[in-house]
Amino acid sequence: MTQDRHAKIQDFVNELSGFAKTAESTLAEVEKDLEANRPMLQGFAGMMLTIRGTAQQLGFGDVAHIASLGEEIAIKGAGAESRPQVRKCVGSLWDVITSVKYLIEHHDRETGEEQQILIHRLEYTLKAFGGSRDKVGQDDIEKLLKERG
Amino acid sequence: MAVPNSSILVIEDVQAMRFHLKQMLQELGFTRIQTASSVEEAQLILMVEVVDLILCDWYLSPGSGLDLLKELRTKRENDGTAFVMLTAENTKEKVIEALKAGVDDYLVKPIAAATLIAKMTGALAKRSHR
Repeated sequence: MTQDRHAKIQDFVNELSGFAKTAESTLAEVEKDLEANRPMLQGFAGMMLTIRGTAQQLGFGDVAHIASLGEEIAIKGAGAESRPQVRKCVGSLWDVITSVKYLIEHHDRETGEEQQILIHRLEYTLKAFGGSRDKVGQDDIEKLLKERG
Repeated sequence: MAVPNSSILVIEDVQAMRFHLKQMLQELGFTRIQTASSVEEAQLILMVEVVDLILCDWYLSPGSGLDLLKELRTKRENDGTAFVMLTAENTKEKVIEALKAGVDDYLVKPIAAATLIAKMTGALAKRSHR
């Protein structure tokens, strides 16, 4: 890896770490009052989306995947109808943020079994809440653009 | 319109991504590139200058790329400005919202240089024929 590319990745990593810390603070704030602060999970979802986009651009697939699950679970939490549901979401989001922070800091290492177990657990949680929102890929967008004319 | 001569405004709140995109565009031959980290900063640039193409993230803090797009499409002087959304946001609902608001193209991150140039060329050509 050239020194320039290494420095560029380090800039991204530093910024991603900053977003992860902000997301962590948001989550701590939500936990203070699960019902009143539940809407703050929308903001958490936005931070996860930013982390996902940046991680995808860098080729950090596992960070992107976990952030994506965190984004969807946060959306479910923001719209949850009961306190236990919000608590369940927040519990999962702590796992998300801990893992995302670790993976960003150790981006040059292989993902361990622990992360894979976490991914399965998060997928299961998301499924229990009704699954992910309807997403589209670039090909679908091309079709939508053509339909619009 | 020769693409490299086109003026480009990149709006992205992640600093490292903003630099990355600028570098990518420079490598593609663009020389007239401006960057903004927020809607407010972009608005200040657009108050004094009409650009050929805006490459914009969806979520900016504060504000959003969608808000800026809607604002631009209400002003006749920006009729020739192409607007390309470049974002990780790929829920169908949001993509449709952007299409309805008049986005010229919509790119989901991660983006490769070849796709970027193809989409930008297409969007610039479409707007220049209006």
